[in-house]
Amino acid sequence: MVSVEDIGSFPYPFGEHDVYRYSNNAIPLNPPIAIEVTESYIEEMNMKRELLKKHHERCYHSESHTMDAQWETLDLILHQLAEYYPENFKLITNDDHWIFTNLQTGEKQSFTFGDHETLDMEPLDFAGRHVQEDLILMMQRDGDLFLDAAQLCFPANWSLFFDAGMSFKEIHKPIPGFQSESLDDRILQFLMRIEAGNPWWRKNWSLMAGNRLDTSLETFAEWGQARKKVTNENVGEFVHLRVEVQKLFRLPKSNGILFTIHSHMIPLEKFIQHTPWLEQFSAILHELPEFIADYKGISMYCEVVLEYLEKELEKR
Amino acid sequence: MFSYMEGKRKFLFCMDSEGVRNLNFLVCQALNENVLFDFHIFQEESEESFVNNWFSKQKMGAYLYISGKEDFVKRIKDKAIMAGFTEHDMQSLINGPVNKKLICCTCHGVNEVSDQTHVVCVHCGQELEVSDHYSRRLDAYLGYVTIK
Repeated sequence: MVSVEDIGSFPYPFGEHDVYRYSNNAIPLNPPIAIEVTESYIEEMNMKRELLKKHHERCYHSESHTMDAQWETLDLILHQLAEYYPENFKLITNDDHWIFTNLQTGEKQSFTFGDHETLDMEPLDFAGRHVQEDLILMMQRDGDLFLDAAQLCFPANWSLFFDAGMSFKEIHKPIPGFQSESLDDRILQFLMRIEAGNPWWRKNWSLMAGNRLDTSLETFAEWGQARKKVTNENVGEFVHLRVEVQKLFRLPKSNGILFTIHSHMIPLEKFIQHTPWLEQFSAILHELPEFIADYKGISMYCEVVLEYLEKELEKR
Repeated sequence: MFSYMEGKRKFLFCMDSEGVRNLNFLVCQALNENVLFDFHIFQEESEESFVNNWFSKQKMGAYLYISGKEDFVKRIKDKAIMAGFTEHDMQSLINGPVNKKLICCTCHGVNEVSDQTHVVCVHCGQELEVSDHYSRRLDAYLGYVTIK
């Protein structure tokens, strides 16, 4: 289950300030690639497919009106896989007759683009089984965005089953402080102005006790207990920094927004090898307001982490 | 509590026998200010059958007040929304206990709760904290597991 990354390729989540608050920290995505294939590809594909097999209800949801947007998503994902990772993926399109080959998993699928009958699952579900990202489709109507379809295997403590169909603000209601100064409204307005051809991206972070990627709310009773097991002795290897790389693409035909989430994890002891990261993260965590630490699930072991970071700083 | 909405061309008052007293002051105010209104007290569920037709005949500017027991308010509200009313065109007030559905975050089982803050899921036995995270699709609130 260990899916940790090399420090060299880890997406460092913090900007120039030593203070963290909820904000719209999205920036233009250049180059405009929705997906990334890393060394843990096969391992994560196996995990995803196992979850989809055993728990399809919690990992996949779609409303019937999302079918056009789903095909647009499949189009975007398969083309990008073949274009940016040609050694691993092939795509042949002959009018509507498509053949997609995944050389890493040894799978080959031919289908008629736009014809639901020719794939044995929905297009979004199919596309999601070939990328490490979770794929979320937000559909725009009545001046609002709705979570109308998603394949979600690695949620950071939320439930697709429960949140499916909700508007942007309804989804984010449980986040304390997210409504202050109309932050929720400003981010919603920003998302609705995203244009096709100009994607955006942002990074989000949290700490977690353990290294599970599938931290669904449904299994919180299992993995949440680990928060009580953080000690001065194990903190460096046991506590992980979890970073979500989130990308936002407007789908030109259906006007939906494709939101891809790639979750990365690294144990603290590895993360802090790079001294400037240790220094900044220590400062941010020291200053972090209680309500954010609570929501991110850090409070129970935050003191142990802070002590550990301070000791490490003294050694440098 | 209800509030009086200024500037509406007509009020519709819908109540069961329990809900009457909540609406008295609004009816008086509508009379004083010469605003049109319709008034219906429903004694039995069978009397509600004409409501769909009644709602669909209303013109722009009609404003709806619903008062009564929980299941009554819910039924009338659903019919109003079907007829084209939105949440902005109505107010409702429930008399008596409010039962809500709570979905267990672990097993997705549905529990009935009223004013408890914690319940034990009748399906999987997890202790759940009742939250205000609400899904219109499921018409239910989310029950979270907490770490003790």
